[in-house]
Amino acid sequence: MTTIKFNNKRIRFPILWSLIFSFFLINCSVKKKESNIVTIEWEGNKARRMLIPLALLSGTPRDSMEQLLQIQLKNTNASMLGEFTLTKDTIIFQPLIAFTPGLKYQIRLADKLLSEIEISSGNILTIPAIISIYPSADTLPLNLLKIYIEFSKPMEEGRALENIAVIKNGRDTIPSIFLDLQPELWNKERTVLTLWLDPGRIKRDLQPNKKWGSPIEKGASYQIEIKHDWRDAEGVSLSYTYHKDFVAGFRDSLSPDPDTWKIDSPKAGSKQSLKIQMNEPLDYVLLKNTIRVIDYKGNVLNGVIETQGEETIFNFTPSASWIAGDYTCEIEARLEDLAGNNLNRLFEKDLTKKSTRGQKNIYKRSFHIQ
Amino acid sequence: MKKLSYFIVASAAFVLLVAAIRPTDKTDNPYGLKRGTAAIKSISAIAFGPDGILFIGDSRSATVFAIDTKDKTIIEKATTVEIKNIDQKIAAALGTESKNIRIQDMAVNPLSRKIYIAVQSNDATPILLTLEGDKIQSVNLKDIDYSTISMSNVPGEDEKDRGGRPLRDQTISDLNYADGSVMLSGLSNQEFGSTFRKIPFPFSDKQEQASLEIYHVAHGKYETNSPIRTFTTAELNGKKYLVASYTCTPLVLFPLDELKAGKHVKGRTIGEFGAGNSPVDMVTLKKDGKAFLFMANSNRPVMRINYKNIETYEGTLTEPIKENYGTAGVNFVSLPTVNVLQMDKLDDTQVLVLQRRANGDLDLWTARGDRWM
Repeated sequence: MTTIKFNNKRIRFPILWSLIFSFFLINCSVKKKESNIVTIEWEGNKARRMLIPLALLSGTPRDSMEQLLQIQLKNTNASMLGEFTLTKDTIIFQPLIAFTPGLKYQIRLADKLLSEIEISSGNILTIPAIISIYPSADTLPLNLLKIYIEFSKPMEEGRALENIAVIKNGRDTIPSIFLDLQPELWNKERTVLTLWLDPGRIKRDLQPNKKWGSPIEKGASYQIEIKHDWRDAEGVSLSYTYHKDFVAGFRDSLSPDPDTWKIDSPKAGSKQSLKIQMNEPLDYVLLKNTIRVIDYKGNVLNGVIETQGEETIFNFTPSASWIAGDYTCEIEARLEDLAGNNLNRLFEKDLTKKSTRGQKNIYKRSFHIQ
Repeated sequence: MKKLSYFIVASAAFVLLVAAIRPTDKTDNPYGLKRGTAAIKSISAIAFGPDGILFIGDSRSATVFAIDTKDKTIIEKATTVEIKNIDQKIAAALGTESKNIRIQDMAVNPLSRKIYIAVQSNDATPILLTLEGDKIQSVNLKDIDYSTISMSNVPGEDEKDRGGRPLRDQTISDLNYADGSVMLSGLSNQEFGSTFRKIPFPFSDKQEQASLEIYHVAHGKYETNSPIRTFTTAELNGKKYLVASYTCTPLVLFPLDELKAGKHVKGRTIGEFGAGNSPVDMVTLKKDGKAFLFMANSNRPVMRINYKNIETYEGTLTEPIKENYGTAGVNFVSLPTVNVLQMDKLDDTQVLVLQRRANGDLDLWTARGDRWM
């Protein structure tokens, strides 16, 4: 029916004109609408800048725009701090910190509300996870000094102790078990947190130790609980509450002794790992940072360091194949066991007794590749 | 004519170039600052030095920045500050909620009495703000005069000595300027122990940093290698000392002239102010010729210690404390002010206090020194 009518020359002409007119009308209105829309420029997952079309500020002299324009978080009366940049048709606002997803912001000109924008959640954010809790063994010394928590993403700082609890025998939460340090001890990437058990409570005879006893009691079972409320740097919480169980064993009152370690030498021409078995679990982070392998020319070998066997095995995989010859493992004296005893001194050093340990900065073990 | 004008322009350009590359007069730039953008990655601690120079301890980039705030107008008596819910107000100025920010440190410019606040957002963006009255403003870090010194080297150990071993992460726990040097206490996130550095300012190329591992014998035969939480400096009986406090609150003195590169200095413990506590900040105020040390704490009230008592206390605490939560050594008085998170001297008679109130509010207010002394 329509086709028949359209084929009619008498009506075809006005229809064509009205179509053309409508097209222009729609086009203009779309353009006008677009030019009034405030948009957000993202950098990765961060809502970094607000782009405000100048058309929204029509009638305002260019030189007074920055002075009159206010960006506010909704329901506050404070202008946000940031920098305005004026371009040909847009005024760009970059706040000191990125806009927060889920919050609404208002654009005001001399207190008159011009526009409001809600920051979307942006890209789909990855949920942070806990990769590991170290020490990874199930039985730990009762004078355990520190734990490390390794996350898959950078985390927020300053809220660790709100989000961690240690529960004894499935019943009692142990108060003040960790040292309250501000700033907290994160690595530069904010993916590994170091937590110290209060040393005052570990060292025998110190007042906190006498009052509350050692934070960990021999034979008791413990559960480290990491709450799902803990947020990452993008504000996303852990997906569930993590637990790590362990039982308290004996007090560790001996320094690690590299002379007793067993070295499994790989074969020349291979890229097999060098394995050092250390008789006891040592500190995970220090293991990765204090041992290096050196060839007979004194060159430090490149390679990947890993720990195995619940941090009782140091594993070094070289980047290049092994060449037959003599090698040395250099171990810094600051390497500690789980109770903070390093190669030179015990964490709980008895000052009345003369130390029989050495005072070297570096301990060496040689091995041969053939 | 055209050639002449080219010549004039070229000559003028040459003169300008020479002027630009002419070594800056030392009197114009006594601290050896350069112009540029201070690429600060984190702000762990801040403290003022001479002439409006603000020191910023940046743990993430293992650097201390000295920035010229140009804020040098001398004000003797500061205006009283009273800002309720300061965290919410700062958050609003940053366009977010208070749960997404943390106040890292605050410092008062001793010349202008202006308050500087270091804030960190949830995504670890460092922000430096000032307060003028109750107005929050940001401190410009672009195109400013500043200088830096790296903390990434272990003093006395250069790149060759380190031989490919990774740099150690250090977290700056406190930073102060006294006696021509920036002093900072650092914590390792690996081995248990603290470092203390004394860096002369203006920063030199030589990086003459003193470093020492501090330990004290406070509890009978057991050694404590505990990290310094807060410290200040004081002149006692005509000699300059570092006055430091640790977790579990021992108060320890170290003679400043003994703090030298690589040297291990044994401190003299003069007070034990109670277990289960961490000191937070220290401030010194004077009244009628008497000087008092005020120390804010995590789990104890603000404590007042008369410097006269410190001067006359000649002993070293070596015996363990018998009584639970007991204290020993130099006498102190507990003030009726608890949960103080930050504290700095506003002027000679007033102290700026950041306090978490019993109802959970975080307020910034001014304590009158005459009421505290």
